[in-house]
Amino acid sequence: MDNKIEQKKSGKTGHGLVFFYFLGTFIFLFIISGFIFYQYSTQIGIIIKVEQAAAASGAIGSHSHLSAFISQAKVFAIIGEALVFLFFLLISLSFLAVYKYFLQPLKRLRGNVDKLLSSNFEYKIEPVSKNAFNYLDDFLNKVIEKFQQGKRAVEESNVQRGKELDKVIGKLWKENLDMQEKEVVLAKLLKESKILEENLKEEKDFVNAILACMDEGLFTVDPNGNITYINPSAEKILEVSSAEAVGKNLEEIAPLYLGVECNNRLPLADRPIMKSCKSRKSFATTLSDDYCFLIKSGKKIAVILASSPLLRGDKVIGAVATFRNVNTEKRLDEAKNSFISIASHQMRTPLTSMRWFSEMLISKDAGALNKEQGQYVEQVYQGILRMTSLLDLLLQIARIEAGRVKVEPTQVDFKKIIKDVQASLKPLISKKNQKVKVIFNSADFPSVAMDKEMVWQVFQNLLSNASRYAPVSGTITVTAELKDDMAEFSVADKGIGIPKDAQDRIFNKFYRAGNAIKHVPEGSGLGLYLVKSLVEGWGGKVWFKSPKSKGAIFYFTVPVCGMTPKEGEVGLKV
Amino acid sequence: MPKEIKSKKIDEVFIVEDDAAIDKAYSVKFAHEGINVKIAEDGEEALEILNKGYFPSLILLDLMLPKKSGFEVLEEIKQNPKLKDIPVLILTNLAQEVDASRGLTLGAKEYLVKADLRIEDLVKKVKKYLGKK
Repeated sequence: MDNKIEQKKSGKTGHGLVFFYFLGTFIFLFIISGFIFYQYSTQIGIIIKVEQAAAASGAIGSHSHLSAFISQAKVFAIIGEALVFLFFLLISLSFLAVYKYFLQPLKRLRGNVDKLLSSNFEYKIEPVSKNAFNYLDDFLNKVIEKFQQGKRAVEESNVQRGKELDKVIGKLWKENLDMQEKEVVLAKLLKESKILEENLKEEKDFVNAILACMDEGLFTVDPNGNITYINPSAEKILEVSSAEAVGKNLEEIAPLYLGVECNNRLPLADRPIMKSCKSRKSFATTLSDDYCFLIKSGKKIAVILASSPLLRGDKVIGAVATFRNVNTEKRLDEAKNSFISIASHQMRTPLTSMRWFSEMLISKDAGALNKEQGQYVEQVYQGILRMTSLLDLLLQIARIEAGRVKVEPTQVDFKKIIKDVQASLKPLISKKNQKVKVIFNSADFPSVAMDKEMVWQVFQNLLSNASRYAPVSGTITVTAELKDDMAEFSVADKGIGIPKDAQDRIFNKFYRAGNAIKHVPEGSGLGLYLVKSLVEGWGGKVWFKSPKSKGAIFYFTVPVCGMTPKEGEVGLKV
Repeated sequence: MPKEIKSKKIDEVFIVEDDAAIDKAYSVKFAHEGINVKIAEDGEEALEILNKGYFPSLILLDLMLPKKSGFEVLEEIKQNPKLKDIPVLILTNLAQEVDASRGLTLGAKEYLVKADLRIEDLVKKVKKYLGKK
């Protein structure tokens, strides 16, 4: 509305000025044309005067010519005047036309354009006249319309784009959130990986600390026996620095020897660590295996070793060995052995004289004894024998525990051994009027490569126990049965049995069940311990059944493949 | 005079034993069985006596002896051409197999553990070596 009012206002003002301008021009033209008319009129008057003068002069001939000329001049003057007037009129009219049809619309157009510009193209031009400018108005209107359409389209498109943009922004926002989440996760992962790294470092430091402070020497080798790691203890024991050792062959850094005198050098391939590499098995040596390293200073260090393969996936990448300097243990072991030896000697010596003098008294070398004296001496003698056998048993156990007993397998005929044991126990068995029943489930029961003395000891202990705890006139049953790769033996009696509360301790060293002590006061509690040590030593099992404490059945097994020979300082027999 | 003794084999058992009680048992029992004995209480004394030309029919040798061990005594006896043929029975309470095998390797006839031996059985063995019934 305002625009329209403004348009009208400005139109009026423009009209006024133009009107006055054209009015002025018209008046000016009128005056000019009047003046010109006057001039012509004057000329005509002159001509008339001339004509009159000519007429007056009588110049008829010429008068007719002149008169014709004057008539023509008059006509020309009038025509010229009319033409001039017309000319000026036309000019005025053309000016008016220019004003009305060109300048005025142009001005309006300018105003409209200004309005358009100032109204941000939100303006519709009202066509005033139907002329060329109207087309321009139409054109402008169309342009505006197009522009507005375009604008609307742009707006719509903007809205659409806005929506799309919103979507994109939403998506981006979501992605941003995702990204943020991912960043959080990443940060978390980074944190975790840092923690892991720290943990790993801590772990590594921890392992290094363990390796560094462990008393055992430790080194690793590659499959060729070249050292890949050596810990501080190993450096100390072998008198070699890590820098010197790593990369060098084991043979160069720590040659290994075997034997009591440590004089048999082991080739690289026979060393436990290399065997671990090759066979993927772990090996461990014992004090009695007598391994020693020759170290830099030329000394030999007694060691016990353990080796294991190092696997990465399925591939052997080397092996690790730990070892300990056992020089002290070796000395202690020697001292212990020497103690066993001395103790056995020192305790046996007085027992020997006691035994011999008792025997001499009994055999009346010092004259006849009365009945009571004879009984007393007999008691002394039996005591001495028990003490001697107890000492022997203690020494046997000490030797087994020390791993010093050698194993000498020979083909053992179990029937014969049982018979021999029976014979050795004859005084005891006959005294109680007991029977021994031996049942072999197979006629051709195989003989097995066993250490005869050990098998004898096991049967001897089980049969003597059975006899001691079985009733007078009772039967002791010995059975032998082949079960796959094991020979299973049992020794059964119908004696006092093993009370429930004693059953889990019956194989313990020095343990004797209460009922056994009551029944047979003398006994060391070492027999079953010895049996267990021997049977387990040869890879068998020993167990018992004592149903409702009525008698006992002891079982043990012997591997049919027999025993492996073993070097040792002593046999079981003392 | 020692020279004459040197060459003459005496029907006597030379006992090398440091334990007085056992020495007493030996001498009493062997005397009772009619076997003459001579006793040395340490290794050095034993070798001294032997080197002076004493030539017993049998030597009963303990191992744990003062001054010189039974092994050293045995070694010297077996290295001495004049003594090496005298049968030596080791009578000890050192029951370890290493000792037994060492003793037998050095040339002892038998390795006997005293505590496990009845004195009657010892007498029988001695009589066997002396060729007595």
